[in-house]
Amino acid sequence: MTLNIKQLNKNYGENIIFKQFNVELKENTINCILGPSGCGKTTLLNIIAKLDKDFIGKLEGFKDKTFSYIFQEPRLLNWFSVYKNLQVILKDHENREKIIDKYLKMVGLYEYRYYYPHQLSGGMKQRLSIARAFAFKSDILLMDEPFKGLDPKLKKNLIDSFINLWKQDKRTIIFVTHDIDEAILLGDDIFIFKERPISKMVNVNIDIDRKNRNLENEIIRGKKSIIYSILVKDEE
Amino acid sequence: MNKNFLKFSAIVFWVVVWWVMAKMANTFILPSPNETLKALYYIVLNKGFLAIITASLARIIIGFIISSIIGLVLGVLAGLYEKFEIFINPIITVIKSIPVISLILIILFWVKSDMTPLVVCFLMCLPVMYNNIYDGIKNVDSNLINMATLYKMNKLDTIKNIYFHSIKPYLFAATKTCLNLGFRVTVAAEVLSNPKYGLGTQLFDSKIYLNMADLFAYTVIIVTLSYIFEITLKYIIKKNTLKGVIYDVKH
Repeated sequence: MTLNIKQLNKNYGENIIFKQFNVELKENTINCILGPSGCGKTTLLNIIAKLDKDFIGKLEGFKDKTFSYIFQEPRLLNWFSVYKNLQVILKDHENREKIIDKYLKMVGLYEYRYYYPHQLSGGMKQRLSIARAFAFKSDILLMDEPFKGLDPKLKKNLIDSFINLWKQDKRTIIFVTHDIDEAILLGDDIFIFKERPISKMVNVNIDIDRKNRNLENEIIRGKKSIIYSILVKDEE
Repeated sequence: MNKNFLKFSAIVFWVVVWWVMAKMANTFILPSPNETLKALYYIVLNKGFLAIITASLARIIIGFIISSIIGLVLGVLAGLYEKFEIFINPIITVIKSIPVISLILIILFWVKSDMTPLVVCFLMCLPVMYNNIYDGIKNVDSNLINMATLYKMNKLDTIKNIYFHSIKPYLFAATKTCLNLGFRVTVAAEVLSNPKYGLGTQLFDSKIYLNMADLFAYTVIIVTLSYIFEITLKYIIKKNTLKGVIYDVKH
């Protein structure tokens, strides 16, 4: 099953972001979009999520799909506790309490369920945002650089939490990042964006089991240098 | 030096200034603090005193509550729907621009003198409440609204879970301004409309009978009541602001 974006054109005034852009994304895998900051990755996610409707082009396979979204910043409701932040998006859900408890335990926030967001660290807030995205039953999960600006240890913890959640619930992921390591550790397919206007991209498939994915692995290092050379070549 | 001691000293200083000035001037023009206190004592002991302050407070509170409810509904609607804002804006601007005295005199023609202060209080507070709520709605974080849309939160839940909490600071600011304003305009309207019971009526009578001590005593009562309102409101705001900040053990 595939999700297609065809002939996408998008601009902000005279600033052209996408020009006749096409991409084919695979369902139930982690599709990673890698590119420099400000190249239009977030714009693409917002178009897919229907948060931005001002574009020309065709989205095939996205109709009737539901989305959850892990934003760059956690976007939590600061006036509600950790628990209530999940409760409000699962309004009519059966077994709501069980689902909330399950996901809070999975991201290690169960003990903090009555805390308020301002009492949590940056990493904990982002873990809550990840739990929210998984607790909400969606077909497609969009992720917009959720690990940006976090220290390496925390980032690794979050990536592990994320992989654990995804292994139990393999929904389609569209993951945007500018970090090659993140892309290699998480992605099944990596789509490398060129600078604006984006009209074509290079697709690298990471065909390695996630258990063996670490940055010291020979093959991973090889893939990393290929991706790096594509990005550098693009810049030239 | 202790801040409270400084505050107390400042009050004592100004009372002494008042006392000295009263000594120099004619009692008829400026009653001294002890004369004012004496007048205050007799006023408070008077049988009708409770009816007087109850009548004034009822007008202020009812006027404020009506303006809050209507201002809240109109402000939310105008903040969410541009067409409604265009529709309602002219009347709000007109009410806002009318001088209080004109408004009191106009309303006095239309309704009974007992009701005039309440209606004036309502009309003066309405634009303040409306404008604050409107600003609050306009300043809600659009990122949170996007999040709510994405997670299929319906309009009513979005208002309840996001808009309401985001506009709280604006609501508190408006409440503070409205109660302060409500106090002043209600008493002013009572002075002009002369209802049977009311602090404004008493002010007017004191002036007519050239009883400066009573006039001062009633002014002290009005200022004290206004201060009690403000402290109560501050306490409510503090309690509500802490909610969501302090670790909450209950679920």
